[in-house]
Amino acid sequence: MNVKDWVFAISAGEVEEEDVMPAEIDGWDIAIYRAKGKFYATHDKCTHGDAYLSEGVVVGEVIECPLHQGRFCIKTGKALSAPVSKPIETFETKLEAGNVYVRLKEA
Amino acid sequence: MPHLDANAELLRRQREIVDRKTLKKFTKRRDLPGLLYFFGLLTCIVGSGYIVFLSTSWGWLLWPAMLFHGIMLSHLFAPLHETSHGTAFRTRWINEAILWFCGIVTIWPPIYFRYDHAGHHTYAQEPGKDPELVLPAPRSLIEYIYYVSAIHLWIKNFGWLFRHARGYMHPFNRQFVPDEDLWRIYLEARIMLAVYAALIIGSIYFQTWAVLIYWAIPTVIGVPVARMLRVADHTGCPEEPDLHTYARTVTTDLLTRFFCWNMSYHCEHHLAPSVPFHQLKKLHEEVGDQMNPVGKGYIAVQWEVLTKHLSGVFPKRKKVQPLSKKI
Repeated sequence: MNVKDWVFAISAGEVEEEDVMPAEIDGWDIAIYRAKGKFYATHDKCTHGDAYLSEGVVVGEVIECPLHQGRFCIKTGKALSAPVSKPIETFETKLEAGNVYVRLKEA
Repeated sequence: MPHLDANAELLRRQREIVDRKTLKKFTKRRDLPGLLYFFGLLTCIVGSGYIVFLSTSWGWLLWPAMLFHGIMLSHLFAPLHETSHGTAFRTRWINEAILWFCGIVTIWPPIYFRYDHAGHHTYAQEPGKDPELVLPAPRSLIEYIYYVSAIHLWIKNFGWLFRHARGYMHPFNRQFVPDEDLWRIYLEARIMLAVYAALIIGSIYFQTWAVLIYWAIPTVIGVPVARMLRVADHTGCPEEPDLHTYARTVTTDLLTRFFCWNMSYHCEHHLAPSVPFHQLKKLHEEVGDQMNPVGKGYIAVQWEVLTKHLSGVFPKRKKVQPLSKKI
């Protein structure tokens, strides 16, 4: 899978520490996280119930789905506990001039 | 998973009632409230166990003592439920340890319950879909007694354990569990049955009644109280996916809220299951007027179910459609 160019996702100030915000990039729903001072990005849709993870709860480096409380690691995308079992896709991020950029992957 | 539309619809309806920013105020995780509630309940259980110990030499008084102890034990369902959501504690290992402890003591397979309960939140009050639909209409007095006595509970829970232990899951339950996680459910059932078998063998080997009088008998005779609390959550509410009305928020005292871990705010819990139990009262203060606060206590709701929502003494059999005749 090839990677695309860096794309602006969100202003860093919009994402509070231990929080998540939604961003639409090239028609994709992406969740942008801030945890322990770093930014992370994953697909926004939960692999279990199709809920938006950006409406979920960040606890440390874990995102918890708002619907059924399935949990994913926001660094690796690994599914951590039931009812989720499939990992969530993650994307590279970088912080530049107060903005968060995400590099999506070619389909 | 086949539940995507239902889940998307559920979130859409949730957002109509409470926006993300408001909800976020209530979703922060903490360890202290859960630890206070859990060890408070554990203290009550140890205390009631001590009363059982004292009453072993008082003849027939052993039975009311075991009943009281069983009522205390039955409230372990509350932390089981909250930890199944993963919202009870910020520290995950504490959450999972208490989930397993409560699951083994109350005889609920905890990981399977997590899946089953997710199904309940997706399909609450939808007959044929909600895996935890309590007494669907038309409901009768016999069915009410059957539910509250918890006979159904033991048949269901031991049914899960024995089926899952031999590597089989009922097709209805199967829809809530992804293929790749079936092994966890089967392993869980085997571990739990091994624990119970060890307790039975140990009791026989050491010739002790302790497991029976401090756990098994109290659990069986005490659990109807917890069942009655559960009747109040949804029974008699409209059997349709309406977040405003498909659950009840019951008005109750501080002590009952302590024992049920604030599940009296059941509408608010279904509105936003990511809100921990210790924040439900505040969420109720924010949005409660849009929900279904019935302004009644548990006993009044129980009476309402008995007098208004039962349709006779005996179960009504479903009419069998006659086979269509060939012309």
